[in-house]
Formats: sequence, C-alpha cells, structure tokens
Amino acid sequence: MPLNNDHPLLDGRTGGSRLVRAYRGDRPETTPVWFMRQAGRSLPEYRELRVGTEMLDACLTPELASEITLQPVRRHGVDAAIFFSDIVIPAKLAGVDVQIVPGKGPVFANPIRSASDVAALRPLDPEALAPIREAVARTVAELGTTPLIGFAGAPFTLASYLVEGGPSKDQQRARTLMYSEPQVWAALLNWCADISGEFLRAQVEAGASAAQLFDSWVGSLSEQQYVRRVAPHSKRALSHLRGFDVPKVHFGVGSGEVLKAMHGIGADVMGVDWRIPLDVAEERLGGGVPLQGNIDPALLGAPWHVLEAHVRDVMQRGMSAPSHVVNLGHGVPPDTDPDVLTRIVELVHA
Amino acid sequence: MPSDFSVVGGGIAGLVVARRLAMAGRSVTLLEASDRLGGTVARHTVGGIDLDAGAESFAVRGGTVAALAREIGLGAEIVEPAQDGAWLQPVSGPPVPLPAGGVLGIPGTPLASDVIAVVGTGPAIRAQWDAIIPSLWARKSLTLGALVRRRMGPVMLEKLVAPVVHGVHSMHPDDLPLDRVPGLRAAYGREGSLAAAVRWLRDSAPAGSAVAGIRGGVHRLVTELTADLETYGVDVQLGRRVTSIDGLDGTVVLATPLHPTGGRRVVLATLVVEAPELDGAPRGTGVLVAQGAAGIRARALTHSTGKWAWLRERTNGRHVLRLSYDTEPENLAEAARADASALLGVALPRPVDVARVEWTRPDAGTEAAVGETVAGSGLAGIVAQATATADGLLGR
Repeated sequence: MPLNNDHPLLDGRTGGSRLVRAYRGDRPETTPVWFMRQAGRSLPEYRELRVGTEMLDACLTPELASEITLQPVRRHGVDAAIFFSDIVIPAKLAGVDVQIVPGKGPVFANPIRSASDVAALRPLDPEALAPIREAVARTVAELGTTPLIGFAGAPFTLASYLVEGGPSKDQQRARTLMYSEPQVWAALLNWCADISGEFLRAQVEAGASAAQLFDSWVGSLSEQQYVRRVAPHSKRALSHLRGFDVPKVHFGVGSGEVLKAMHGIGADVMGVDWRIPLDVAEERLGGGVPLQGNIDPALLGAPWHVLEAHVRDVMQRGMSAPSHVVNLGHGVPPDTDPDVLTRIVELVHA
Repeated sequence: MPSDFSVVGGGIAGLVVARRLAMAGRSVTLLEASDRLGGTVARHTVGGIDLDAGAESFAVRGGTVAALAREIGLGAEIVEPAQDGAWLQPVSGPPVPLPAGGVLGIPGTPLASDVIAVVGTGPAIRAQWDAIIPSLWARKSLTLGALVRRRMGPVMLEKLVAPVVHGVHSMHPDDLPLDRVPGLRAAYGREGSLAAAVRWLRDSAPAGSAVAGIRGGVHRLVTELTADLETYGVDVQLGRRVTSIDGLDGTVVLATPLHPTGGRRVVLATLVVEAPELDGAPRGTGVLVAQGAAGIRARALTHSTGKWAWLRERTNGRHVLRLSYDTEPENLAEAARADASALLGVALPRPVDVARVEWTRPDAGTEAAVGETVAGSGLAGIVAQATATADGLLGR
C-alpha cells in the first residue's frame, strides 16, 4: 500500500527538504541537524506544559504530544521534528500495565519471564493507535515543510524492559532468557516487533516523512547474539513499513560491534553513537550509507570553543559518508542548556 | 493468506527445510501429527538427568550437522566422544575390543590380531581372499551384506560386520543398500578390494572421531530450530495428521511418508545406576552384540557416561546406560539390568531409575521428499539432504 497523495513526502512539503534529501543519500548545500530527545525534558516550556500530567498520558493526549513535538522546532530551528513518545507506548496500548516512574524510567507491574507470560500478551488493536495518528496529523499540519520523524523502540530494547520489569544495567535477565528459552524469547521479540512496527506504521501513514527505530541497549550484545537472536526481529519491525517509500533510520547506543549487522535489517540511514568517529563508521559499514550523528552529549556542558571544535570535527568526518545529518550520539541530557542546542543549529547551518 | 510451502512432518528434516525456506522469506506452514517437534531427536529425563531419548550423536562426515549447529548458535557446543572405542560381544566368549581400522566392522586388515580374536583364524584367512578375488562391478541393488559375504566370507559378515551395522543402522547388512555407506562403492571400484577400500576411506577421513555430539544433548538442535521457526514466523501446527496433500497450501514438501509402511520397532531402555565399578569405563563407549550371543537379549549397549564427558559432569557419579532391543523382553527393566551386568562384567544394583522409549524406524521408501525414509538413518545424511532439498526449492 503506497502513501496517500496528500502525505507531506508526496505533496511537495517535505520531499525536497534537507533532511529527506540527506536521508536519501543526496547531500544538500546546508547540512541538516536535529537532536534525539530534543522534544521534552530539556525545555522549560515542556516542563511548564506537563505540570500535573503523567508522562505516558502526555504521549497519548494528541494536543499535548503534538505541542511538545513542535516546541524544539520553534525554539531551535532544527531541520526535523521527532515525534514525542516513549518506546513503551505501543505496549501500553496493547494493554500492558506500565508506568513511567520519575527519575527511574518505565516500570512494568508484571515482568514477562515465561512462556505463559508471553502467551498472555495480546496483539495491538489498530484502533488503539487513534491518539497517535491524531497527534501526528496535528503536528504535520503545523510543521509545513519541516519533516516529522516517526519513532519506535526496537524489539530487543523494548523486550529488555518487559523482561527486566524496568531499566537495568546490562539487561542480564533478558540475555539469559534468550538462551534458556530461545522459543519464548523469539515469540516475545516477534510480539514487540509487531507492536513497534504497527506504532511506526501509524505514524508514517498519518504524515511522518521518515522513521527511526531505536535500539538503545544493543550495546550489551555480542555480534553473534545480535545477528541470531535480535536482528531478524528488528527486520520484522521494519517490515511493517513495507510498501512505503519512506527513509528508515536505525540507531543504537554502543553499536560499534553490530553497526553493519544493524544496517542489514533494512535501514537506509545509520545513526552512530559518540563512541566511533563517523569516518570509522563509514568504513565499518563498507561505504555508501548516509550517516546521522554523533556529537558527544557530554560536550554539551563544555566551554563553547571546545564544543564548537568538536561539532566541526564531526561535520568534517561526516564528509566521508554520501550525506550526513548532524545529531547527538545519544539523547539530549535533561540538564542541557537549550541555548547550546540552538547555537549548534546555527553553527551547522552557517 | 495461503503459505508458499507446506512442510508435512516435524522431524529434523522437516525443521531444517521449513527453517531454510522461512529464512529466505517464504511463508511456510509446518504440519506435525504428534504433539511435539523433533521426531527421533528428543529429550527425556531419567533419574533427574536430561538425556537424549533418541539420536545421541551424529556423523562428522561432510560437516553438515556441524555447519547447522554453528548456524543456530551451537557451534561451540559440539563435543567428541571418548576415544576408548566400543567393544563387541561375540556369539561366544567374553567381550573383546572392536578391531581398529575398520569401517562398519569391515576390517582394513583381515589378518590383524584384533580381528582374529573376534572371528577366529580360519575365517580371517577366508577374508584375506578379498585381496585376490577379481573385483566385479557392484550392481546398483547390491547390499553391504552380499558384498561382504562374497569378498570376506559369511563368518566375517555375521560375527563382526553385522553387529556393528546393526548398532549403527538397526538393520542387518543384507538389508542395507551399499550406497548407504558413504564413499564405499566408489572406493571399492577404484581399489579393487574391500579391505583396500576400507583402508582408503580410513586414511582419507579427517583426523579425530567419526561421530560427535552436542554438550547437553543432541536434542538441543530441536530447541534451537524450533526457536528459529518462531523467529521467522513459520506457522507450526501440532496434532495435524496429514493423509492427503489435497488442500494443503502452496508447494508441499513431504518430510514424512503419508502412508508409513511397516517399519522396524526399536525399544530403548535407559538405566541410571550407582556403580563406581563403571568409573573406569570397562567396555569403553559401549558394547555391540552379535546376533545369537548366548544369554544376551539386547542388541547394543551404550555406556553414555563413559562416552560423553559432558554427561559424566552432570550425573553426580551415577552412570547412564542405554540398551537397545529389537524384540522387547518381558520385564524390560530387569532384562536390561541383567544384560548390562553381563556385557559390562559388573554385577549392577537395582537402577536408580529406568526409562523405556520406543521408536519405529521407517522402511526406506520414495514417497517422502526428505527425511529418514529417503536419506537413511543418521542425522548427517538427513540434514544434508534436507538442506539440499530446500536450496533446490529456492532455486539455488
């Protein structure tokens, strides 16, 4: 099924934007820039807006999710909006009891640890995604020629939360399950792939011009574990976008070992974390892959001249790829001074 | 949406074919009559120890099973059996070590002393005729038994070759087509004598054991293959007995005969015993029994804890023995204990636990596309043939 003719990618709004051109391997005169987690916690206008609203409730309230998505575009002049949401949203919409505990992260009332736990998981009812579609449609209507990037968590990262019951240091329970009960693991990751895939698909159908799959915790895996127990499921998640000619971005933290394998799941663009320079990433990928990244978030708090030199170095190394979208090597830290981000946008666009 | 392929039969061959097709992006339905996958590769728990209930090793030849194991993450788990070798219980007299340097019991040197110890001097000299009888073209239908009888005589066949063949294939050499012994026909044609062919096959085989296992049991292959079917979205339907391919989706791959005929019944008795006398593995990895051996009803005994180091580490000093029977004796547990005592030369106490498993080995046939009925017994052949069949279906 192709995109609707009034989709921003097709009706002339975003098809020629810097971001979409760069994602398609065509280097625009001005390098595009946006920041992972640019929407939300680092902005005072976000903290003001969210007072009295639970994080996940904000994600599922179309007016709020849309407004939060738009805030950083207005403030920083970035080249893309990233849909404000959370990777656990599709699980919540499928009926899983989950809350975001401030200062901790998502916490699941009933961790998934056995075959019967997995069998009890229900598929995601497409109707449940209505608030997501509405939030995206509202956002896209406001954005005009700025593209919106759809957002979803990759099956491994989402499953790790479900198995651990919340954030964990090295996803040990999850990695044990993948060996002790390989079939249960496979069934769980397929479920995660399908709900995340449908979540992403709803965003693209409603107007997102690109899609990014986040595998935040992929760094805890060996290449062999990744290739055998994770990659087929990530591929399955992206397969929900089959038929849509929309750029697909894949990103993981600590992905050095598995960068090439991650690209192999069907991603068009690879996000790179701060640990490997972009020219090295280009080499590891075998060349020809558009890159996104990879300013070290730790340097956002450094003196401007240090940060400026780092950003210039990132851009210089990004020249080795066919095209480059400047971003951080991980999400914006909560305590970041928003003015620093605005300054980076000015520098990249200069 | 109808599947591209329907695979009938969830034994190893069916699992391998379904996995390969699904990994290539085809939609696959797998139909299995029983309530579990894996066929004769299965697990059971005896005396609290997880063991293989069926196949417990595979031929290293061709590297096919090892390649599959590596693909499914078990590459580092492949283990060699103990190098002690097996013993033979002749028709009369005490057990003797199985002669070295043979293939399926066929000696490379008929006059070697360990061969004479089994068959006697006269029959060993008769077997030596093999070196001077003109070699004839081995017709397609020739069985191993007919060839050995002609070249090396009936005593060599019955006393040495038959027990080994039976231990490996659960059948008499007269029922085993020559082509089920990989490479033998070609080597015989080239070398002109059976013993020379055997020596050539031994010399050209890679160093190390001819068989291998998987740490934890060969059944781990099924666990991993099943997980892959889940990963790649194969629609697995258990309890689905198929008697006609009419109405099945897409291209049908028969990994089991639709109408099984006959078949040979094999009963396995597994004993877990407290017997420190077995710590030294007095009969190596086990004993093959010649037909007609006085007082012994088992056809073969495997000393599993003598054969597999990984298993010995898990049994708290207990020993695992597995005996196979063509004809089930009354009171299997007691008969197995008596047979094991006689074969091992150790008076065994009452076992801690006993398990009985029955398998039907299908007759050879051409109805199925993959599996034991067309590839013969043995995981190496079954996996190789199933892999090649899947590749053929994918046009590779």
